[in-house]
Amino acid sequence: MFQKQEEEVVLFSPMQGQITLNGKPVADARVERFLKWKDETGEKDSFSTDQNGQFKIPVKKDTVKLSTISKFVIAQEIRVYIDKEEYLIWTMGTGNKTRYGELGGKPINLRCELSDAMQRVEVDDGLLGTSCQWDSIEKK
Amino acid sequence: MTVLTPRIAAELAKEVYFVQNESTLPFFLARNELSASIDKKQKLTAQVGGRLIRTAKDGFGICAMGGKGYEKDLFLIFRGSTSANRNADWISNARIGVQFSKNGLPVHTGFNSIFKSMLPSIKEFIIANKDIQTIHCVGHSLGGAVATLAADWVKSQLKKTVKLYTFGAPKPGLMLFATNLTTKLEKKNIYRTYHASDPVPMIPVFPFVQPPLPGYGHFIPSNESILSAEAHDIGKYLTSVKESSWSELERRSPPYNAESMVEEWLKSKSPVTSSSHKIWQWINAGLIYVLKKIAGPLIVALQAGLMGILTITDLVAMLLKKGLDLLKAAGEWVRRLITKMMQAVGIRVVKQDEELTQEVIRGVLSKVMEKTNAEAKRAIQMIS
Repeated sequence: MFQKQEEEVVLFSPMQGQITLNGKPVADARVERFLKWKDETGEKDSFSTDQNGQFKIPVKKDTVKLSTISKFVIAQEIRVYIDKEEYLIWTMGTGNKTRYGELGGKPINLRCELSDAMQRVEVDDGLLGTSCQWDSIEKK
Repeated sequence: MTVLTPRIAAELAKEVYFVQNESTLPFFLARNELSASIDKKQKLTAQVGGRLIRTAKDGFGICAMGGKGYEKDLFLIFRGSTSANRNADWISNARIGVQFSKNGLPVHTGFNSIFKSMLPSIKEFIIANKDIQTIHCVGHSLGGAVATLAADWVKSQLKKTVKLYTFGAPKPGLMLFATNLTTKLEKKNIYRTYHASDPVPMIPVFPFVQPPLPGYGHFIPSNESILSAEAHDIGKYLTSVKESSWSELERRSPPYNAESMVEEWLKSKSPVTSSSHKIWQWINAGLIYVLKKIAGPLIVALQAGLMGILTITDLVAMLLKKGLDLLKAAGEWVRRLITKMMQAVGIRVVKQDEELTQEVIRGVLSKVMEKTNAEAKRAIQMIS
């Protein structure tokens, strides 16, 4: 209890879904994930959609020393690039560091329509704006 | 005139932590209390960390005009340090010093530099939003200390109603700052909320004090006898206050903040032990009580002393000695306090006044400060 403890944290839970533009699946689009948690720079990695606009972003973890004086906050952003166009589809600040903790469970049938406006979504221990939708949240 | 409920104030203090990028800002501002048009808000930035440590620029607070029901309200919301700016080492002793605020009052150097670095953005925002009636300053932890300095500044600039809401905030300045702020804002507009077992509101140690003064803020009791990490978390604060009103929270004030209880404690014959963290809070309260009795207007000397002639310990020792020698009634309280302090730090209690030289008093005070420091540090290390 008196020691600073190292802890494995989930920075980003696995995410899969479909990206559409005006209702049509977007094939071969670059999906970029940006995460910031331990410094101001953050890290980026990229994925792409398949022929049906389906994308999969794997889990991202880290081992960190937690502090209570400094709040542990993860910033997440997801952008989709089609030709020269950039679409922000997900921006979040979260204090949750567990698998599927961002939304309080796994989102079922996640889909993101690029022409939709980003909305504020109420979550516990976080702040989320997204244009994605889901049918339900599967709790453990 | 609007008052934020404990729940809304705590939600704002919590949610501001999640605004880590420009892109999340609009969704923070989409809250009902805040106005919907983006151009009415602006993110504040601050240089975080010490002057010697090069750190990145980081969002540290948000200015916003109120939404429906809060139309003429300005919100200044600040957050504490996050994992992304972990070098913001505001807790370290090196950063604890005293400088004078914009209004010439003694405040914490580290908090004041952070506030000053944000001031240009705040000024710009205020100039752009002329019709302001009420200002809500909100923050948790370091953000609460910065919110306090912001409240002080904005009150002296705008002469409007300023309301200050802090959660688990460290002490922002010295006694003169705290009393001056309490008079300016009025005690009823200061909502300082803290868990009994949160160590952060205990630091820095005396002569740093918490506003409101006189007053004691909104206290959430705890059965834990030790200081705990969880007690500082803003999420825990939100849980503690969300079903309560301010008056309900105020009713739970801790015993060591009532003057009659402090007198009672000073008079009690039972020896004190250093086994509970509460002892340092009693000593702190006792010291404030006694200094107020002997110094009164002389408290200004505390400020003068900071100009570099005397250390704070020297100065307090001098005041106590003067009280002992010159004032019959107050002298009795000084004697009782010193006895308690000697017991707490485990040194032989001196009975004769002649033995209580300024040097001896100074020694006792140093020990007390050292021990309180160690206690706070131990708690901080435990949670940081």
